[in-house]
Amino acid sequence: MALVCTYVWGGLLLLVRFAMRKERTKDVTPPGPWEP
Amino acid sequence: MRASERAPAFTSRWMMLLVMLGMAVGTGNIWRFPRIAATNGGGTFLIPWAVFLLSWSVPLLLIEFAMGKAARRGPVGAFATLIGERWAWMGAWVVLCATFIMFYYSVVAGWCLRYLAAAATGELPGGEPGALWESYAGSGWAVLTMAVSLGIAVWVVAGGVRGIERAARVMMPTLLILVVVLAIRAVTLPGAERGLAFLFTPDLAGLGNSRVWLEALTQNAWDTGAGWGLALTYAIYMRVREDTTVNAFVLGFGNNSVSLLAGIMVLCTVFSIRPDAASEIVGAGNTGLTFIWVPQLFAAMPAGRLFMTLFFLALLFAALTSLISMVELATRALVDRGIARGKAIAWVAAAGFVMGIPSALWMGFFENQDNVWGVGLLVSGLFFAIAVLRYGVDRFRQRFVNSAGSDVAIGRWWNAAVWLVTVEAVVLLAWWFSQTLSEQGWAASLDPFVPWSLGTVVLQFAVVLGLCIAFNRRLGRLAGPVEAVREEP
Repeated sequence: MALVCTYVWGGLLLLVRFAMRKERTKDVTPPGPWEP
Repeated sequence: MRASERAPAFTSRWMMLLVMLGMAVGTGNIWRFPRIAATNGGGTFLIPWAVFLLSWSVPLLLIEFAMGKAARRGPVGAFATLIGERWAWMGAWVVLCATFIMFYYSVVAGWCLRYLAAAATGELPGGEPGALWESYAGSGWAVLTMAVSLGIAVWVVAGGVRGIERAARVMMPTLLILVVVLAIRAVTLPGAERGLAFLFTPDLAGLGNSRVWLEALTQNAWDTGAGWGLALTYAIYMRVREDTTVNAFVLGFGNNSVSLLAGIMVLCTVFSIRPDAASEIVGAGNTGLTFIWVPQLFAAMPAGRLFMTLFFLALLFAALTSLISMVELATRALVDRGIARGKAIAWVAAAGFVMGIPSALWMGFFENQDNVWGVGLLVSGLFFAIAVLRYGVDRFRQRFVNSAGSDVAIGRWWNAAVWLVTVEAVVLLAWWFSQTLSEQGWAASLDPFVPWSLGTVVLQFAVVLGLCIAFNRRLGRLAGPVEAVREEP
């Protein structure tokens, strides 16, 4: 039980935490027309 | 200006994930997962189920995210843009398969609506088990509730990406809270530990049974929304610098987290209230479990009417959020052909209503469509994998997955994962083929008028594939150039 729950729910929590950290530092403005 | 910049986008990453989760979490998570887990050894089933999350669902979701974000078109345009206009028919198959599912899925959403009303007003459980189902399923009321559900989905899609976001903002947090509340209620029932023990105790000897592995793969194929073209359609609204890889993992794990909660919720309730009839209940099929047994189970617990109402509300929200994504996909396919969005939505609504009527009135037709297009989804998944193989797995990964804005760069393991998806789809289709033949025999399985036969699947596949290929040239003509995907000569 612990193994499956840790894998699924723990995996989800770790992924969301990682995504939140990345999102804080991300430049989300669309690239300008001069950018490739 | 790039085509992608002109299109509306999700307001934030979290909003996008909420909408995507709404697409992935459907009735399959709540009524199919607990049943399939229970009939395939409980804890034993969870091991291959967890394996296929990474070897089927996540790679396919990643392909869909990358294709939709790069092409900014629905499946037909995305396939044509990626591997050439000669292959647009593959995208058309994906669209038609999901649209045929939409035709009967609106009936399912209608059933949930009717049962929510019955639970809230105290009409359930009624005197005789299954009495409401007997009088309602296949009646004119089923057509009415189907029309109401479809109307809600169409109304949401008519609001564009902002309308879809508004619906997800209300429905998804409510759904998640309801599933958690119902799971907590279930594990605190006397005797619930029997359900937990059944769901989480693996029998390693059972892993030698190929059926357990194939059912686990089928469950991942059907309940994550991977390979349906729905994630691709929503990915059109991704921000330009949006991540694909981590989002695909979050979606896969998020979907399976809800399935696990639903498994705990249903199996703990069953093993607590009717441990003597557990195998009969989980063997009663999706509709038998949900619409006949669930009202009986909830009626036997304290505050049962309240929890029954919450259960059907959760089921309705799960069904509606998935139905919305199917309506959006069909609408997008028409918009890509140059039809104005308002007119496209009206066409989809009219077709959805007319084509939904047979499934609402005849259970045999409903079961036939559920069988045919459920298998069709495996073909859709196979087409996505073939498209990437044809384009070049390594080139696809470097160009569309590890693109600007991606949180992580994925390595060569993903190339192997795409090959694995291809092999899994072929094995699953071959298994289904041989299984149907051995269960029904040659004569019965070739009869196209038997709902579960091989013949009906082959005939309907042949007609739809034939039409897709016949009209390929017209399908392949894109509404305009897609600068974001075209490579420099």
